[in-house]
Amino acid sequence: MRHDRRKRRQRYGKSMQLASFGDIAFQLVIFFVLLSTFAKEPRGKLELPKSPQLEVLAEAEVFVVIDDENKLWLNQYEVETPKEIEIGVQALLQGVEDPERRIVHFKCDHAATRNIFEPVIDSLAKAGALIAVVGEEGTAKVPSE
Amino acid sequence: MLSKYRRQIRKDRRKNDDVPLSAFADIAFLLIIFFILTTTFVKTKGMTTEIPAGEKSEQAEDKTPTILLKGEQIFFNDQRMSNFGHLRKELAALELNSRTNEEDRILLLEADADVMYQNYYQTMVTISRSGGLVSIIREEKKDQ
Repeated sequence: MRHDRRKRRQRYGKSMQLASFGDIAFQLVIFFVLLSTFAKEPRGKLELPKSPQLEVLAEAEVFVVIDDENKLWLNQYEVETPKEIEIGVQALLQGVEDPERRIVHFKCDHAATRNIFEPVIDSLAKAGALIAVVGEEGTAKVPSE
Repeated sequence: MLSKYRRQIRKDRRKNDDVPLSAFADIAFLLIIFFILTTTFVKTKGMTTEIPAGEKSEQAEDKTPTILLKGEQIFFNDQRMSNFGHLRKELAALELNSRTNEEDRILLLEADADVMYQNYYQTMVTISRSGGLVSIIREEKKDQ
């Protein structure tokens, strides 16, 4: 009789250890906290120029962006003139001797014209930055390769 | 002896209709492992260019190789290039990488006002890959 009762109990489903769900939730939170990095780059919309010959760039602390509306951005701040970019980059790179840390990522919309981007590149050169022009891998339409 | 009705009840109780909830934790871990293995971080790609900021003497500019961008056309030392591949071959012939003096590696880059950044960018990348230093001809100099 006792043997029958034990058999009957075993046939019913076993209870779930709900405490483990909390552990899973904490693990997921820790995983994403460790992986997340705060965005330093400006969020202007733009389409990057394409080139088939590109290399992976080193990390930079300074970002200069010209978006599709020809607005200038230095890190997360919008600026009016290339001169402000020169002054800002000079200030950010003051005292930085290591060339690796003097890298400035320059992103510009592919359709921007010379009168927009050239003064910005010029001001970055005057500020003593090592300019890394950011693009996408691919082939541009014209002139063809 | 049990009646048929009681036997049926016992059979119903024995059926285990519960969903095995412990499997959900396994599914969650499998999904996490799947996304960890398949996630790739976006890498910023581009080219580091060296652009000297100082003023160049007019004498040196006469001898320095010049790349001119006019609309969609590319000119190298007044010779029209059919495409960037052609420009790359011309620059490779200069053997800029073997030159020790930085001034000898400088290439002048001039562009018309209507030139798009796409073409300018590809030109800078081509110059950098061939070992050259880009020097931009500014508008003030053109007026002189």
